[in-house]
Amino acid sequence: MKKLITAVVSLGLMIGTASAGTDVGADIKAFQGYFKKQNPSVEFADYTIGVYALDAGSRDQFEEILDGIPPYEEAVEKGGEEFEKFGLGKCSALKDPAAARLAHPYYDDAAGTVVTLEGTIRRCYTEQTGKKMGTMKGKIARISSWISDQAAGEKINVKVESDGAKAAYERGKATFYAKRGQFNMSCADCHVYNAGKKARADILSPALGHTSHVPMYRAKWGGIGTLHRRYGGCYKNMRAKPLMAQSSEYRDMEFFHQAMSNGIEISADRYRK
Amino acid sequence: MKKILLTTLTVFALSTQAADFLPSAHNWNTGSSGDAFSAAIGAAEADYASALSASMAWRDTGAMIKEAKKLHKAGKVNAATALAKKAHTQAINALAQASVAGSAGPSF
Repeated sequence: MKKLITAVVSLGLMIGTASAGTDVGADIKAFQGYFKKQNPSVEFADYTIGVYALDAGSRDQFEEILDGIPPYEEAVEKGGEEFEKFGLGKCSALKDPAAARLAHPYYDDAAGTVVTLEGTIRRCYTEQTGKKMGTMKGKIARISSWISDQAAGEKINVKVESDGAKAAYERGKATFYAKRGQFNMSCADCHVYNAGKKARADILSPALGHTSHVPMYRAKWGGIGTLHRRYGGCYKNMRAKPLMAQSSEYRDMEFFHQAMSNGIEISADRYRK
Repeated sequence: MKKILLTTLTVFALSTQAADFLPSAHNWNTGSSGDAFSAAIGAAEADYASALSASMAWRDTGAMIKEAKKLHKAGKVNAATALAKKAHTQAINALAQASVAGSAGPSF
């Protein structure tokens, strides 16, 4: 009996320690502080434009593209029409699109899982139409872009509060910093420690602000894609096998990834090279 | 004549039985390169499955396993074995990454 009590108390202490060890505020401070130290001349608010905040030449090109008709404009408008057409506003979670963008991702304590904006859109779409929706491009990316546009100018503010949320955040953090694939590199190796440096002809984008403009239009894709589509691409580049978009691992990573950009403005300028 | 016939039949029967019950490692009928391939591809598949379930598999391991099987089927046993061993090494390295992934964190 004594042994059993000791075991239960030890287990409780272990769980308590894991939750107590999570200090999201300190993590954000350290993460954002790192970028400030590395790039002292870059304003915090400028990280909303990602890599274009770090390279003047690229920024000029980016601004030129935005001065004309951005290549994603039509797709985003179509996303708005599809939002109406499929009756997505009838779902309580999407009734106020701007609020929906700001509320996601969040940890659903009842379901014990991270809920992403794309996850909510897909669920609502199925409720309204009885059909399934993809996860990486097409309708999901257009609708999600249009919803995000409604919150442009607002600041990312991911909340990590419950023990379940903290555990998901910690899992996402580990995924972000874990080395993987044949190149034995983590997300952080490129987008934190080497952000702003060149990988072949490309400048590595800073992870701070990565989620301000998602889903993003990529010239390489010739269209809009979700954040999880991009995760898959990065995995492939590291010669790791990509996980399924909207898998629990990617959702947890998005939870961490978005939280690191708390305070950065959501942007409708979703063009990236 | 009867003795020769009986001996021949006995040897034939025993060698057929041996092929059935001996494990492949001791089965001299398949040749040593066939054994090496079976061992390498078996190990590669097992460790690749573990790496997949840890969500840490490498991009090309699955394709390498498929290609190794294809080569083996085409009778290119040495090339097939070499590729299966490469795939196994990839899976081992992926599992090594998985073993430390859970505690990964920032270095600033």
